[in-house]
Amino acid sequence: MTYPFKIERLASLQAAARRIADLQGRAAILGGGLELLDFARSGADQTPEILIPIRQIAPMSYIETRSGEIRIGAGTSIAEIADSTGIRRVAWPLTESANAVGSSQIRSQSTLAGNLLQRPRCWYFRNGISCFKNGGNTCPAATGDNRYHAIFGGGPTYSVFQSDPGLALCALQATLVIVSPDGERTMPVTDLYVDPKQDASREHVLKPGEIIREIRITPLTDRYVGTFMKIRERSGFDFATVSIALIYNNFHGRFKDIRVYLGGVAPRPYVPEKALNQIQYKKLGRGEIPPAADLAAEGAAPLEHNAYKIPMVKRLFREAFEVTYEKLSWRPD
Amino acid sequence: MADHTEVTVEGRKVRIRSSESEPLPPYAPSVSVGHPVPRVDAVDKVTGRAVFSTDVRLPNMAHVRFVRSTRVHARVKSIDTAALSSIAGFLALVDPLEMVGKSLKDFLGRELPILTDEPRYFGEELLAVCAETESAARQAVRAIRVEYEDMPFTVDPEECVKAGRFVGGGWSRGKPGRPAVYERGDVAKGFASSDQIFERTYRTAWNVHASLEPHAAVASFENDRWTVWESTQGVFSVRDDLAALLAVPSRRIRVIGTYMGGGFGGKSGAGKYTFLAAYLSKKLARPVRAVQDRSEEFFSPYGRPPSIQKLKVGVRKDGRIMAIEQMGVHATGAYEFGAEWGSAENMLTEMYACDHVRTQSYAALTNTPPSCAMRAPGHAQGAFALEQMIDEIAHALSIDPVEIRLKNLPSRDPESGKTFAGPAGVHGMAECLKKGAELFAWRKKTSETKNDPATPVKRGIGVAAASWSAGGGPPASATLRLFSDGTAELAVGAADIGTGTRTVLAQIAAEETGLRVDDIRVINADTDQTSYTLPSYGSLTLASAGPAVRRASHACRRQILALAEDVLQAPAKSLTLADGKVTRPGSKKKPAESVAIAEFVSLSPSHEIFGRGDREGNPDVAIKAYAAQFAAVSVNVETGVVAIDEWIAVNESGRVVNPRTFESQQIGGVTMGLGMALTEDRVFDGGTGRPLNPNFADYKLPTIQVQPSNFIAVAVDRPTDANVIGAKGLGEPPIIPTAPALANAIHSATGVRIDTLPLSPKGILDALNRAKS
Ligand SMILES: Cc1cc2nc3c(=O)[nH]c(=O)nc-3n(C[C@H](O)[C@H](O)[C@H](O)COP(=O)(O)OP(=O)(O)OC[C@H]3O[C@@H](n4cnc5c(N)ncnc54)[C@H](O)[C@@H]3O)c2cc1C
Ligand code: SF4
Repeated sequence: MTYPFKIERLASLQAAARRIADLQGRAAILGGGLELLDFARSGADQTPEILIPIRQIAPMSYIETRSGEIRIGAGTSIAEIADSTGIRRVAWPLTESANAVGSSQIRSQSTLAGNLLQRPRCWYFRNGISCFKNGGNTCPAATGDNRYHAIFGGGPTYSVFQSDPGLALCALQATLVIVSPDGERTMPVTDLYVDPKQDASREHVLKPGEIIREIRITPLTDRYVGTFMKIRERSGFDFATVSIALIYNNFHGRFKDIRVYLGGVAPRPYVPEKALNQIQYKKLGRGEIPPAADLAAEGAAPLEHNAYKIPMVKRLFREAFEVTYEKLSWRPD
Repeated sequence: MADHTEVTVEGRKVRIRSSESEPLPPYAPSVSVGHPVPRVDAVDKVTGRAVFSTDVRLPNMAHVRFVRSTRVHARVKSIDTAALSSIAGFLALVDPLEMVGKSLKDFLGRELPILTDEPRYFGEELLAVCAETESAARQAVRAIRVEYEDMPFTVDPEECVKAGRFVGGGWSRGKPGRPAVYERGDVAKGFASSDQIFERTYRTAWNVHASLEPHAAVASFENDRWTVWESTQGVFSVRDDLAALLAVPSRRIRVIGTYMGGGFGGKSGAGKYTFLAAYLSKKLARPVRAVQDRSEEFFSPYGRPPSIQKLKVGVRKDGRIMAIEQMGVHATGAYEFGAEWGSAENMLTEMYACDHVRTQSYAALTNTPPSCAMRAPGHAQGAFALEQMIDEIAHALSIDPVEIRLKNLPSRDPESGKTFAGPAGVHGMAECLKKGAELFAWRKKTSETKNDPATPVKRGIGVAAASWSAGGGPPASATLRLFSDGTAELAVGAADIGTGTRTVLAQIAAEETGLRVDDIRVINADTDQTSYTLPSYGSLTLASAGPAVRRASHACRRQILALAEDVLQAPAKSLTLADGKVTRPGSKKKPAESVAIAEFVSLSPSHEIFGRGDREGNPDVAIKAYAAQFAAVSVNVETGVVAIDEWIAVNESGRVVNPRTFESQQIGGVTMGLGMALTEDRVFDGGTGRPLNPNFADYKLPTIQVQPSNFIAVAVDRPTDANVIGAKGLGEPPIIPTAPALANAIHSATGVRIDTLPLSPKGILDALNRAKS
């Protein structure tokens, strides 16, 4: 490990992509640097020698509306997102999620792309204890102190998804614009995250040299309701114990187009399928919510110390539906 | 006051007479003491002018860092330092051989080596490196390769006790493998005469002091003397520790700790880093800085050890406590060092009247950092058990939780049998409970707090109380110098650990002399410029240094008055000293007349008025400070999230010298208590033995958002007659009742006792779940 880093300034994203691809793990994009600095200090993860500050390549910190989409530069800070009235108007779950990130210092410093690509907070991994995520071949959390770990989709890793804005972007069906050495492509944000069963060592599919340039969101029309909610141990400045991003609309008097994702409970944003199927297309009615909420933790496989997340998941699912239900422009009860 | 003390001098027992203290007139302060005077150093602190030890930068200063063990228990097999030579700026390496025989000592003389090649906990100091810059020192640390031979370890205190690896906790050094036992009366008899017996096991979590300023020292060696800037609660104890470690006379060491960023019990003497800074500053002949980083604050020998307390209490139907039996285990670390700090038994032995008490304290020799005093050491843990148990008993017997406490208040100190310091009459804890109950509308809330079964959010209320020995006492002294321009210098040894000590001492001097607080410069915590005092710990600072300051100021007052009698042609007792002047009141014949104090100082034979004061001895009584706290909470039983709707903290700590600093102290104590209660949990992994959350993201201190929205802190202002200023300590009492008050409120909301800290959503949901099944 080298520390401090070398900073390189490159003329274009394309050039940066090529440089990083050439150097493989030895170079990386520098967003807000919070993750990079953390790991450089703790030595718990490999840190690159060369950093390429994304905000110095091109204007990367912007929020604009074009072609009927909201386009957010990858280097936009979480604080700027939280403050954006445009986002609040047509993508408010993202606003709510941005406000729930860390503290105001953390929000000012972190970039949206950096946040999406943050590594798990798992305390074995973050303390450099050998595990699947740092070259090892065990998961000490599986049998250790797993109070903060996954209850769904775990194994071989039990880390949990902790990006609050990431969860909201999944529910908003956001698209990422990726620059790579050989061009540009788009990709749904829901495809960004790796199935841990395929590869437990990493969380996202981007290869070295693939850079997130922009995040695009289709604005929600006023038929939609939605929210982002988060339970944390410490009120303020804490990662989610369980979080939820929920969006749906009223389609001829029915729950429709429901997108619901849970955070803090699985290695990736988790879709509670059973509960979702239970309520999708049902006639609007408050009474539909509790039976669905009861199914929200269906399939949970808690570890020794984290069964407490099960009632939380059910409660949060129910509360998110109840809160949004009240906001529907038409409701039968 | 006892008129003599028995001591041993050169093997001979002798009785020494207590020194006579001049009787002072009764204290009736009016001009400064009792007023919300702003802190004398507020502007310096907010403008950055105040220099803390971590701010000290000296020319040519070098930097120390430690190589710490990456194993929990091991023998160092080999150390490869070959790469050091290629590190630019590397200056020196210190290994355990160079430090043979050097160790820190706890209160009972148990030792902790400065460096070791057989680490017994993760993060223990193996080597020290010194380099031109902090970053070069870090590089040097990383360049060293250490090979270990692992040895078995355990971080679980109960496992240790089972395996016989423990010593007695508490204040005497019992035999190894035996718990420390306290006993009065006969618990078997007490339980036999009880109508009902209650038993429960409580667990408190591992905490860390988390001072804003980490442990830090900067040492410079010049003209054969050391000057050390240390972030400490006690400059004199640091000096004495260093003198012993360096084997040099005290006169060759100066320790300065004027500004320090929080201690909470963790900065009572020299640290390993202090010694290395001092040692290397001489060896390298240049100043050396040693500052711990945040993660090191979690690895080094500091923090509140966790406890497991089995408590059994017998009561009569009317609520009278008949017997208390406790078995307490705490993790003290593998060196026995600091074993005195984790025992929770004092709370049980001193709080309530009870003739039959037996406690056993086991200090488990876990492979964890040695434990340390931390704000209300033992009491904060003990209260979590006892004050919940009292609540449980009250509910079981259908007695009001406030009433049951009043019923069991002791009329004499249960431990020593001494009477309590006056004023006679009402018990301080009774006053706290009654005042709090009234402000909180306890009775009304008790009858009105009902919960709708349909909603998951349940409301509840709770109360808890505390007592703490807070009388202060000698040794403490102070000097006051008045200059001919009407300004003055007050010199006291005490550290101001953020509580406002400098301010309240200046107020006491101002009150006595008539000077304005603004005209008094306070010099404190500097071994060259001030006289000896104990460290600022144990809630003793104001009650120790305050009377000494009044006496020093009184000596000056007498000199001023002697001159004023002549100048103003009036008897001393008719004169008032205030606002920088001495005033003779007006009469029919003469109008009032004032002369500036500066004038009298110029007239004095030495052109300066000087006074010295020594703290008088305490009367032979028990001097306690008291607290009660009331909480109203909402608990979501499906998410385990607790919201604090209302909090009332009441403290009786004798005279309120400054209402503003008094309130700050209460708010700070409750906030720290809420951290302990809700989120703070230092986790050592059973499997790997390693700390899992040595940082502020994962070790969760309370943030401003945890503060109750409706938070009232009030004082019972009741001067004690135990010393000449009437004040007692307020350092620890505000943290003691917080966790049990919250736990009791959560029980009232949910019907479930949560016997384990922290009261996190997980803790609450798990307990609710256990209660269901
Ligand atoms: C104390 C603390 C509390 C926090 N609390 C929360 C919370 O409550 N909720 C939450 O969601 N998050 C939280 N975070 C996470 C925080 O928001 C992330 O650490 C931060 O978002 C990382 O962003 P960054 O811009 O600093 O990333 P960086 O450290 O700069 O980058 C992170 C990684 O992403 C890569 N990268 C950055 N930008 C790009 C890009 N455009 N294309 C490709 N790769 C890129 C970097 O190379 C690096 O590998 C917290 C963090 C801390 C330290
Ligand atoms: S949960 Fe994942 S990150 Fe944590 S120890 Fe297991 S493999 Fe590593």
